[in-house]
Amino acid sequence: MTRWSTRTGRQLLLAAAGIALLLSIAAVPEGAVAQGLDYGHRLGLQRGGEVSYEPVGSGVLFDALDPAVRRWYVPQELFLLYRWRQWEYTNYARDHYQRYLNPDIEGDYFYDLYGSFITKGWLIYDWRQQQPQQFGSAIFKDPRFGSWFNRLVISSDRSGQYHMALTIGEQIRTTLTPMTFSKPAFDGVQMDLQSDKHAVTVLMSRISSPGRAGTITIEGTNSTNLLGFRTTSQIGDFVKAGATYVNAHHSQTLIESLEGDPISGALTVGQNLEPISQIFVRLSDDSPTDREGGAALFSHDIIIEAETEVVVVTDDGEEKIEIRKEAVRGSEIGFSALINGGFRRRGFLAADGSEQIVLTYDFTSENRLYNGPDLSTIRKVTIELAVANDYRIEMGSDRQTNLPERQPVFLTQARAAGNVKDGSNLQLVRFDYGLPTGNDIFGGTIEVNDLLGFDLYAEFDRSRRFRKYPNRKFTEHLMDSDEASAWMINLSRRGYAFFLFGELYSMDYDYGTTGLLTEANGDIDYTNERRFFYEFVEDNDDQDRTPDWQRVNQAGPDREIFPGWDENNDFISDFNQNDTDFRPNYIPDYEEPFLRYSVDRPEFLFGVDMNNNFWIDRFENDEEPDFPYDRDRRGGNIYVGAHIMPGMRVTVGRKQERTLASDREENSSYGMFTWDRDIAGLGRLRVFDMVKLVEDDIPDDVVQWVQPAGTEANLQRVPDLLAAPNTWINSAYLGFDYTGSAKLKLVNKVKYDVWYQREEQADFRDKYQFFGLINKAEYRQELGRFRLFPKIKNELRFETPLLSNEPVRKEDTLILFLIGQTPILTGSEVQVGVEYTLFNQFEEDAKALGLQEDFQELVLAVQYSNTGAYLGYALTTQLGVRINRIDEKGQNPSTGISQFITVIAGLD
Amino acid sequence: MRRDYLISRVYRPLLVPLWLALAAVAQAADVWVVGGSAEGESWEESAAAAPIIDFTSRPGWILPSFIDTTTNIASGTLARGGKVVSPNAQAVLRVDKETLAAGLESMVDGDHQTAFEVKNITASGILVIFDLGARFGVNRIRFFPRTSFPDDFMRGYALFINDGIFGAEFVAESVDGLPSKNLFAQIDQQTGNSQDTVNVQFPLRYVRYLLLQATDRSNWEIDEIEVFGRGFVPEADYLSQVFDFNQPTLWGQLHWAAEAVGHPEKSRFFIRTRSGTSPSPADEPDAWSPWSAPYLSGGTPILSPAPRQYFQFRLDFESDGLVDGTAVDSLAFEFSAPVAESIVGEIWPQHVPVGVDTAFTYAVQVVGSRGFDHLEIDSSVPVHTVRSLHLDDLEVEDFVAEPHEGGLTVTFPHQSGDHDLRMVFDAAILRYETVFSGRLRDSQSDGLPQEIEEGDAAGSLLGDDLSVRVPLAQDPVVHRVTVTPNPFTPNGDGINDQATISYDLLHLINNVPVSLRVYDLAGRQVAELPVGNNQSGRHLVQWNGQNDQGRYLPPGLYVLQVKVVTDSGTVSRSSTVAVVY
Repeated sequence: MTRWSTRTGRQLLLAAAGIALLLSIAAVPEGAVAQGLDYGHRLGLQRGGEVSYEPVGSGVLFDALDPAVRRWYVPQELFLLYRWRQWEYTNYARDHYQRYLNPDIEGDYFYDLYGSFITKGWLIYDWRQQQPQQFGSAIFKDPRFGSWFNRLVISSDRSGQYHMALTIGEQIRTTLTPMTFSKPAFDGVQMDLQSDKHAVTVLMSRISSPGRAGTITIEGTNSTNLLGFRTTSQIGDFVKAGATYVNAHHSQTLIESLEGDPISGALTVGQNLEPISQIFVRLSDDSPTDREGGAALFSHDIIIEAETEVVVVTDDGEEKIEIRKEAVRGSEIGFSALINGGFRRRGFLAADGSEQIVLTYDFTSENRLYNGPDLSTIRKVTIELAVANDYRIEMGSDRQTNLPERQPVFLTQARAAGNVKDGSNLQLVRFDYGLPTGNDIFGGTIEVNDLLGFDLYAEFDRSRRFRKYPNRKFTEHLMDSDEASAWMINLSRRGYAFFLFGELYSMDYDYGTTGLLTEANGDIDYTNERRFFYEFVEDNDDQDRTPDWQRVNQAGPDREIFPGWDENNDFISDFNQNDTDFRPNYIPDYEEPFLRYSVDRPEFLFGVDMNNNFWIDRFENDEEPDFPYDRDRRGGNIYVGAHIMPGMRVTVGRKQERTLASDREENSSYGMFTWDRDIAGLGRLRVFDMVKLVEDDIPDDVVQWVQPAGTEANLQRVPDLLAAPNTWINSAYLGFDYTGSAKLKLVNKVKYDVWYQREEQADFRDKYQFFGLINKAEYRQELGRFRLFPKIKNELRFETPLLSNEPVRKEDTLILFLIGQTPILTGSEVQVGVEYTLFNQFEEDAKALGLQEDFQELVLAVQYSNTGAYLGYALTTQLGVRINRIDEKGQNPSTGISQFITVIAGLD
Repeated sequence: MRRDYLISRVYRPLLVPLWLALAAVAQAADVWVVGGSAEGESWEESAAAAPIIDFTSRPGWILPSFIDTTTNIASGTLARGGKVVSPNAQAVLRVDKETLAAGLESMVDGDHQTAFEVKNITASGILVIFDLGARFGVNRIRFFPRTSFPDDFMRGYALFINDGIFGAEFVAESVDGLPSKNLFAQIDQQTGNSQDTVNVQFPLRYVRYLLLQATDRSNWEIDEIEVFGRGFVPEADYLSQVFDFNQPTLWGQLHWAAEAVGHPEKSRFFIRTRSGTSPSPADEPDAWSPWSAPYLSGGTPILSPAPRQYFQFRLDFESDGLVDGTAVDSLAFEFSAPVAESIVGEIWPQHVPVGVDTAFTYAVQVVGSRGFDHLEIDSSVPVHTVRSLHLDDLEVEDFVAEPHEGGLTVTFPHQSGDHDLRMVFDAAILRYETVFSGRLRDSQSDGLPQEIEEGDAAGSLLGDDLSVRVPLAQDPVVHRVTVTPNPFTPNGDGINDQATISYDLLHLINNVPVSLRVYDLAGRQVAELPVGNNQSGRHLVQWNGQNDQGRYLPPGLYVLQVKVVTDSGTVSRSSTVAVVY
């Protein structure tokens, strides 16, 4: 009797299991087998059917076990496509030879991850990430993604009230909420689900390198991925609740997929390449202009936590590896920072004004010997500071650098609230140092629509920035984060005759919607915002498709930013109506010959300037994300009003706002009267007045299109002069457009602004005044086929600037236009125009004061224009010449000429 | 240069207060004088760097450079540390870096034979950036070709300026690259210029950077660019040379004489000092102290550590107005030989509870002393009791301790050589990082006292510095309010007629408004006691039981509230007091 071994029994069990599996396969229904045959459709299991793949000679099935010596070849692609078999004689006398076809034309065969055949076609878009492996993140966009689909593919479905769409594109207009994610051109994948009451959106993108249509797969080991999510649900009849989450994090494909934290991200290979040898902490004055009460540093220390693997012998005599943790303070081991800068005061170091205190913890310095845990074992480094007053704390290291110089870069860690100078906010603050690995925002919204006549929108969001301390020995790193909040509440009631609006808002100074991007090799330049910053919320003040700033993988920067001025409601800025992407025009229309009749300078227009920086709010352009409110602000504004009669209303309100990281504030009370009336058969009358009592020391710098006389305009940073420290402001406007005659049109507008300083201010005049008067008349006369357009425009300006060193301006500009048009043939027209400008500077010594001198300008223009159909397009062809001659006082006359031939193909 | 002569000789031309201040210490130390009379070391000789300091307009004085309307500011660009660069000219002109730099700098060298030439090129758009090296009030800019090439003027150009503040950090970083035009204000542009000399005038404004862009491809050159304006430069720095005293030296008081030009509130200057043990602060920063806090008034003891062999000071001038500045006549500082080769001290314990009387051990190690008999200790909290004084482990019986508002002075028999001092005293700590700095003085010598340096003075103590800390938990600024006696009896019998209200303020480094109010149990304020502004410390207020009208309050229980208005908010703390008769 044989005694079976355990191993033999195991083999028998396996054999039995194999037989059972074969039997179960045999028992699969026929349909299922047929489906399975599809898998081999190309390779031909259909032997004996329409196509025979059986090899000649051996007479056996090609998958049969045939001990023949003769070598035979399984027919594959060439047989499928051309019926060609390697061993058969070919003769093309009857059936002519067919050339090879490009496989790109025919497409390829595709199977899903279960092995199911999908279709024969072309790979258009493929984004996959595989871990752990080198270059595990890959995006492929076939050239057809651009040429066939214009960089946009949409997969959609619907059933009843349920709709789904998956949009893959490079320029998707996407908004989750205005404070979390809003881009005019999102490059990635957007998946939307919607039913009558619920909506869900998921955003995905490899934002570090979203790829461009091409034949190359963009692969990388390091990438930065974005995940966004928003859902809304209608609750009852009036309320809609929403939740939002947006995350951008570094992803590294060398680590296993379940290692690390997909929310906070992973250190890139570049970040984790070498241990940190120097950590820098910089303290400075958060309000340097007051030159006092800056950062006060009382004490500082560093806490180093390390993990070491040690071999221990257990009681059983076995060796075991244990993780031993230790934490040491720099003060305990004699490791302290080298201090540079700062004023020594009693008990503390001060950084007032422009002074800075820099603490350098150098783990490798020969002068300051470090005898703590080995650098390769450090898991966490915490900086502990006793600080007071108005501090700003930034941290950096020799691994947090720019490129290619690799100079250390400081990132802001904390700023003191307010502008404390008496030490009353003395506190112990601790920061875990680390390199940025990701950031996210989560939040919620509530919308109430027409509940008892009230509308409400409330949003709360919290942003987090994650950082981790690098150590190559570990694949998981300890995380720390900085958090900041933003919230807003808008409540309104638009009734007749009374209405009200209230808003409360708060935006922390460090509320962040900017993610850091990595290069494929893991390098990051922490200062290069153009290449390495990704904005969840774009700066796009002029609401066009091009963001105002320059960021990688998107269009921009926008050189022509003209927000808000669209008096003719054609959604094109009146500043520069004749500007196009392909023929940019950098001259505002109020400076261009002939166009300047219709367009008036913005300072002659009426508008609301709630932040008191001299710029009408709707014209403002800044360099901040387009949040509803500025960062580092908390405040509220409420107004109530009444319609006195149709078109006429009165509003009174109060605004209070303060900065959170300093002690600046604005308090203003205001009243506004508006009357806008269309008088049938006569024209339109507009009367506006806004009066404010303001105390405002919050700077609201802007970047505006500034065009000094005689220069090409440019976007320039315009600092807020803080012109309303305690000030009465009144802005009055009266406009009347006469449209009572079909031939004659008159436009008249007068604006008077006055800023009266209630207290004497250095460098300011007591009273700023602006008086602007514009009168325009336009007449249309037809003489047979000939049309004549005489026009006249006069612009009078008296301005006493705010700054006492700037000269008073008293100027008048008279412009006479005469344009004649006559059609010739059937689709052509000739236009001849003359424009004569007479600028009168009332100041005698204008040049010395930096003012524009008197000048005369004569412009002559002739244009031939033809419109006709060509290849289905409405073709407009123009050719002409424009000559202008300027004669400025004290200068030699100069003549310029512009000649052009332009063809424009339109669709109508 | 060392000067041991009489003060009256040195300061004859100076201001009277300075005379008096120096006369008071005339016999105490030597004085080093910079500037002033002809006998002081001249400002110019003592300077290590002073690029925009005017040494000449007022002999013996220094003041920030004043620009008159005829001074070409651009001519001193390179001397001030400014530069002329072009981020793109090298590629267009196809010249090496050195040739380009020479050409660019020829525009500000005052030599009419040299010029920056841009000729026979195929591209326009050359940018030239001028960093004037400092900010100036500017209202006119001229540039022109050499007289021998009158036709090679710029036919098309755009001129921009930056004031050196607005985005200056970015401008400074990107000057060698392509600076963003957003940071510059455009002041002029011509596309068909016909003038060989371009003269651009504009309202007076501060300018540091100019950006000139050529917009025409025709040949052009610039012989010189001239920048004119007027007024004081808004910022100017004077950095002295490193003074070598050949041996470790003590510092005494700092004096200076200065006067404002123009509006006195629109200009200021700051004096800072530092000391070191190496001749080169740049090469061995560890061997030098940080710059001191600015000295607010003359006669202030020098804050930099001593004894040190090397000493340096700097003056930072600031002006808010174009016609406002500060002129400094002279600066003098005292110095003397040290009391000892080394004096190191430490205090223990270093972590104590807030406001609790604690016994501290103050240890001082003296090495190589020439003699001392006074120990002065600075303290922001009152020192109640000096329990003992030990010298080399032997108790000193005949010492005298004199507490005063700013600390404590202890006098003991004269000592010299190497010694270990150890004193035990009681104090209650109310501020984080309370420093008990101190010094040793020899009353038998004319020398200056020597500061005690923080360090390991006693191996048995673990502190190694002179700071004491209290826990930084969420302690309120007002720590404790107590009333003694409580109850008290303001009946005029001479016994317990007054209550002493005591409160501790924590962590404050400036005076803040404090109010002390008395409320009855109905919440009505019945009295407000005069307090004013207080800093950190224990404060005592007497109350005689009268209300605001001078009448005695009826017997009962009252609530005392101490309210402190800080920059972080208002903090208050209350206690009760009983009035009985």
